[in-house]
Amino acid sequence: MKLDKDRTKNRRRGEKKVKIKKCIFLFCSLLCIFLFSGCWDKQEIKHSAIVLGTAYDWLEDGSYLLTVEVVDAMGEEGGNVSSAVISGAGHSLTEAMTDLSRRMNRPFDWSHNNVMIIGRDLAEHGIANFLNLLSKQYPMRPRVYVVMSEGRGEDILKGKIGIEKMTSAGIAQMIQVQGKKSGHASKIFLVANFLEDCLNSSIVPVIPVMAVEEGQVLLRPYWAVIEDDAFYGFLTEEETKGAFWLRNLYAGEAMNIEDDFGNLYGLEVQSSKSRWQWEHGVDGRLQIQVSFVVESIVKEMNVIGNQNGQEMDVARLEQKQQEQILKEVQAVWRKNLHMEKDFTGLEQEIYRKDYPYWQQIQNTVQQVFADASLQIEIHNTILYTGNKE
Amino acid sequence: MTIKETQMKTVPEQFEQIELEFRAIFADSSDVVFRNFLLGGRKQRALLLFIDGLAGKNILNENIMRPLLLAEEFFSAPKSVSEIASSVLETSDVKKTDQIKEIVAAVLGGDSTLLVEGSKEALLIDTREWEKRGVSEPGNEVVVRGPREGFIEALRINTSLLRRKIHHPDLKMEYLKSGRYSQTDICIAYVKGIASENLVKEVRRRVEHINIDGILESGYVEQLIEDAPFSLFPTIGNSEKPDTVAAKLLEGRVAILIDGTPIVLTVPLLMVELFQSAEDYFSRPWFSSFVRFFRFIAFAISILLPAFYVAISSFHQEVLPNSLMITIAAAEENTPFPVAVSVFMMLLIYEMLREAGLRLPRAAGQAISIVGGLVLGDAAIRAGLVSTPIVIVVALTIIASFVVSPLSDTAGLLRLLFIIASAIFGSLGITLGILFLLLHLLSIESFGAPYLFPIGPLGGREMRDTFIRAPMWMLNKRPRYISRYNETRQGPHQKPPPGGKESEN
Repeated sequence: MKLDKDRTKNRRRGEKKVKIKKCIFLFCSLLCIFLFSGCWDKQEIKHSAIVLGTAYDWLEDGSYLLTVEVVDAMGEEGGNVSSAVISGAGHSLTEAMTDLSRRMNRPFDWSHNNVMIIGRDLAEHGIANFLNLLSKQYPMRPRVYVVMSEGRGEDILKGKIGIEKMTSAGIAQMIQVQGKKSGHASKIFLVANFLEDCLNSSIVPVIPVMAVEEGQVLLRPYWAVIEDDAFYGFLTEEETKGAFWLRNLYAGEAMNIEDDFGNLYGLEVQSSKSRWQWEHGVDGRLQIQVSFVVESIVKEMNVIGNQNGQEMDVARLEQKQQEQILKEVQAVWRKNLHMEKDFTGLEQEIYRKDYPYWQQIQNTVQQVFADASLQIEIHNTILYTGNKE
Repeated sequence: MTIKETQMKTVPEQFEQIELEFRAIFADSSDVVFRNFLLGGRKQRALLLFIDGLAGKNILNENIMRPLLLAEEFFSAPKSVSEIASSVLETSDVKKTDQIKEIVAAVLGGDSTLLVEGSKEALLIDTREWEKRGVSEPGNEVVVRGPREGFIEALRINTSLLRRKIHHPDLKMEYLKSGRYSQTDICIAYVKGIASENLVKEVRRRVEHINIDGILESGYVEQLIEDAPFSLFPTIGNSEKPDTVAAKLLEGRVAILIDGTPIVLTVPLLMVELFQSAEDYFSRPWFSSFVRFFRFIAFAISILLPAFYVAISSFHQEVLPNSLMITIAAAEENTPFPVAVSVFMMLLIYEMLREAGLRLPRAAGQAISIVGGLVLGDAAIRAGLVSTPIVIVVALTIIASFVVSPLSDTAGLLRLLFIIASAIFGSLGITLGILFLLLHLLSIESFGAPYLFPIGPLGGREMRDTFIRAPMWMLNKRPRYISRYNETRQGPHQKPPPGGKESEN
């Protein structure tokens, strides 16, 4: 009898313990909810300064200039949404930010930042740590484009793009649409990719370049090369395109080819694949082969000129395209060797596919490339299409 | 004298005493008629008792009074009530009783009572005939395709409407009275052999347990027999359409018809039923499935859209695309209140306008709609009190809430709770709200059936009639938990052409 009573008592005690545990768990869960979230995180849209674009410059006195383009929802004429460009300076990023905040009565909302423009002075001074810090401290969307300005980044934000009211939104649009269609060296380059390249020793980071001419913002057809976190030099348009071919970025781009009669053909590259192969020759030199498979179309409407009364010779056009690709790839390879940098992505390929060999050559990779023989193979086809009477 | 005092009392032997007894019961009731007369104009006295307005004058005059007064030869000797019922009265429904309680109940229900000298028993004659509305299309359940008839306030007509749908002796209708003073007739209808006996027993038990003064509408019964009285969700279904109720009976549910209301209750109720419409089964399956799925989305919009707007505009602006963010920012720029307050305010104003529009006379109701919808809405935006996106969000929410009309009241309250949660905790609040809502829905039952079935617990074959409405020939089983012992509802090979490939040859 006593034993039964004890058992019941113990069972009740056990149940009570479980109940207490459950209560503690519930309390902790609710506490977490209150601590991790709540009205104190609230920031109404109308009380925030929505940042659309940022520019970073290095001033002559050794201070940072941080410029932001923010949405002006009130509008200049009352009702029309426009933007305002505000700058803040300081000897550190935090100081520049504080200065900027002093000039703005609202907290900044960085989540809609479209573009980060790095002024040339700052690029020459060094940028990677700066970008890293910025991306960590002020979380942005993954689709933020990073570009370099030929002059001051601030000037780009103050410039105009067509009929766009907001320059930053226009830049993003330009990178997405215009750059993709015109075949300029403006391949979409996201800040996340750029930072990754900065941290990757086997590839040289490159970014598109912008400039302001007569108040209008333009996208240059060439890239800037960053080395050791600082601006190193520019790639020419030809070299940039060569890098496009090698990095498989050309698909969807336009390509202009002139035939023997002076007619200009606007080709649309449908697909482009490059493949690296290498082997160690008997003389110890590396034999590199890169092969391309390129498919393009040319529409009748994209042919400028009367073709001189001749029927279009697709085979001849393919030969011309082959020559142009060859020229561009050779140009970037020469630049590669000249600058002793890898723009082509070859070292990364070796690292991925032949790691033991990469370990052997990692310290003398540029020398190995310089001694190597490069063979380029291009398999290209062009489809001529259009309403021909 | 009250009805309680008449319990177990029988009709007195003395004829003079009978009238006194009933006059005492119906004291101060001017509509109760006591008609004294001599049977066949001879010596045997009789008393006809009825309520003016409930008993049909034509039946009383032509089928009861006239034969009783003119049968001189028959009444040459005193006759008993049994003889009168079998030989003189020209009515079809006549019962005998000696219980005063039964007589009182019958008179109050519209029957007439004939008491004759020398007989201890009374005749209850069915003379019910009062003014009632004709069968018409129910306003709340309008269909484009399908029967237009709806239940009315008369119980007897309602049961006949059901009988016209199910011509089978297994359609059972049990009657009972409830309400201490109202003595309301309640009918429990079910199809024997399809509905579970336990379910019928449980419904009977719960209805019999009701002990209140009066039952004036089915809502009284619903609130007294439901499983989750504190839930925002209804656990008892209702319909005004005989075809809908008949379909539910054929699935194994039990219907509760209450005199005086056109709303018929059905149990058990699964939540998915609230997303179903009679027309789903009358139209072809493709469009029905599309509409069915859309109703679930509309319900989600009706409870979550304002909360999402509040959460996004106050906490998570980063999820908005740039252009939308700028548009919203421009719209919100000049408004004086936080988004949550504006949304809450707009929804409360809407509820106020709706209530005012419903309760006012029709002409004034229209004026309220114009003032509320056009003047107030437009003026509020122009004055900068609320932003245009908020008006759009609220309008969309309201429209969506009417897509699933049985849940529109529930959605109205839920959306306010979700707005509060999102205003405090952002999307985490919404997530928690959804979690609690699901837990609640999973925890409630309706007459033994899990409320969220077939979503939780998962029902495989029942899914054919949940988010989509599969073709009729695929719906060959009744839902589990509703009819456990007789699941098959149609024969094999119902897929067109009838008889399958055999008929093609």
